[in-house]
Amino acid sequence: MRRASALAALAMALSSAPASAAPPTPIDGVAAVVDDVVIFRSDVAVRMRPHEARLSKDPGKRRDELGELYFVTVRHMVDETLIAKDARRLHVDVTDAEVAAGIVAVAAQNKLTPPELEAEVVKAGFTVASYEAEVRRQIVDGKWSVARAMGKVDRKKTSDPAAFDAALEKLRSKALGELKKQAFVEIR
Amino acid sequence: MTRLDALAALAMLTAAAGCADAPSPAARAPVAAGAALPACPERVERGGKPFESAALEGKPIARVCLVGGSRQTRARAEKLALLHDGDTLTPEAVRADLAALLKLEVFAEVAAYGLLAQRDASVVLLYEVADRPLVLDVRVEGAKALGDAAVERQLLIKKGAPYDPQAAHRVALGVRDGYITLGYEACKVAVIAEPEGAQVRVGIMVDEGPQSHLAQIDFRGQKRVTEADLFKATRLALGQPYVEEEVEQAVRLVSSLLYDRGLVAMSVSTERGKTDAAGNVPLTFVIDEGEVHTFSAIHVTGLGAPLEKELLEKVVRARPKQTLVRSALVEDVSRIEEFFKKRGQRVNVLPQTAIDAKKHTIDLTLLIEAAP
Repeated sequence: MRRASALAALAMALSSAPASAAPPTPIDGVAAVVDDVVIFRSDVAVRMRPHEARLSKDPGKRRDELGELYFVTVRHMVDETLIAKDARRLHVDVTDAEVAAGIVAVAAQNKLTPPELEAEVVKAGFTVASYEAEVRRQIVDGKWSVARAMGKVDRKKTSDPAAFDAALEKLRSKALGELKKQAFVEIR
Repeated sequence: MTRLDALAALAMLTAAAGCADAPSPAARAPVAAGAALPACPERVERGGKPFESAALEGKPIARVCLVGGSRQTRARAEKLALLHDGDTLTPEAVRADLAALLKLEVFAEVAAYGLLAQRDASVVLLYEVADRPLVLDVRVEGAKALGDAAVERQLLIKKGAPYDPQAAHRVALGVRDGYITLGYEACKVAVIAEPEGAQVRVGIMVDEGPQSHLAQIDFRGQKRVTEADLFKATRLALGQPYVEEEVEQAVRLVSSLLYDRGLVAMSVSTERGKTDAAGNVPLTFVIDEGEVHTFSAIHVTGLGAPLEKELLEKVVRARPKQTLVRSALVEDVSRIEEFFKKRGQRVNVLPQTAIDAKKHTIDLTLLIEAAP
């Protein structure tokens, strides 16, 4: 071994330990791609957080449940992304005032004041901003469903709320299916 | 400089010169802080526990390694302002780095991993990248109507470029849309990417399916509008390719015609008959006209009373008991705008209607506002 190589080997040995025995911990990566939108695993983790309290306390079981929750959440986020993109195409907008009104409505439904609701959602694992984003997504979904169903629901059903909701849900699924056929969706 | 630092520096130089294609730190050389740091691995070992990266957050980064990729793509990644040693690891910063790496459009996969180091006091951050394969060639098969060569000329996928599956998907959709406008409703276009070493052969496979034609157009349910007028409104022609989008547009045009005749409660749908072996499609427009609606009253608001009276008498031509005709209403709106233009004013006219479904009447209000 030449002197330089020997010195290098010595230096490497002193300055760098061999790779740790434990494999590295995954931090982040691509969970899914929807056309030009990348959904990162960290985005999914944020959305999973409010549901984690319901998972098992047993570490092994919990890991399995986390895995299932991850895949359900990714698929849900893919759908949301497709809907949000189509809603923009249809000029379906949601204003801050609509989000605020939505939150007030949720509080009233649960017989809570808005500050009490805020405390509850934080307890559930949301931040105020992430809860507002969640409400916004739900409103976008609702408005988009109506926009896509416009003129397609049998007029006789409009007087029966249950029949109307069922017809709307059917049309929503169909419209979402159409979006999936057109889009580039890759779940990794 | 201590002897240890000098030896480390020499080792780094030797390693860099002798092994240019090996994984390398993405940024500055790490500063050893007493405890040993794991070296940058050649590949990322699988099996690390997911959902447990919270233990790494907030720790100082002792070393950043870029693992995978080729020398060329790593060189491009190293020019980015990625996290480097001395920075604090945060999920947001890692996510931003991954997004920046993807934006280079040379990597098919990017991911971040962390290893606790220096007795858990710091983190070695690993960015794992995988290059997109380069396109070896592109071929189109089965595009008889459009022509394989014509389709090939329009492709966004270029030989020698990194293969982008999203671009390939867009190509497939574009080719399919082209066929649909020619009446090939069942056309299927598949992209097949066959790896060959570090490259990929891309095939655009077209299954045209049969071509459909609009062979017959019927109307059902109309009472007040002639079939000739309805047919003209559709802008469809017998024998033309059957294109669903054009049929939907025809429904809108027929609805518009009916609305223009005061039939504001009408509904229009289509029934598609069975396609025969030759691809002939019969189509029926099903019309429910509803009742003709007439104006019960017409108002102009937003101005002083005398001017409103003048507008209603001299400018607006719609009158109570007249049938609502949308095109006539549009002309009234234009006349009001012209009236104000001659006076050097710009206004917006907003027609507002209140429909009485039982009496089949419409209360029309033309709200006039100064244009900004």
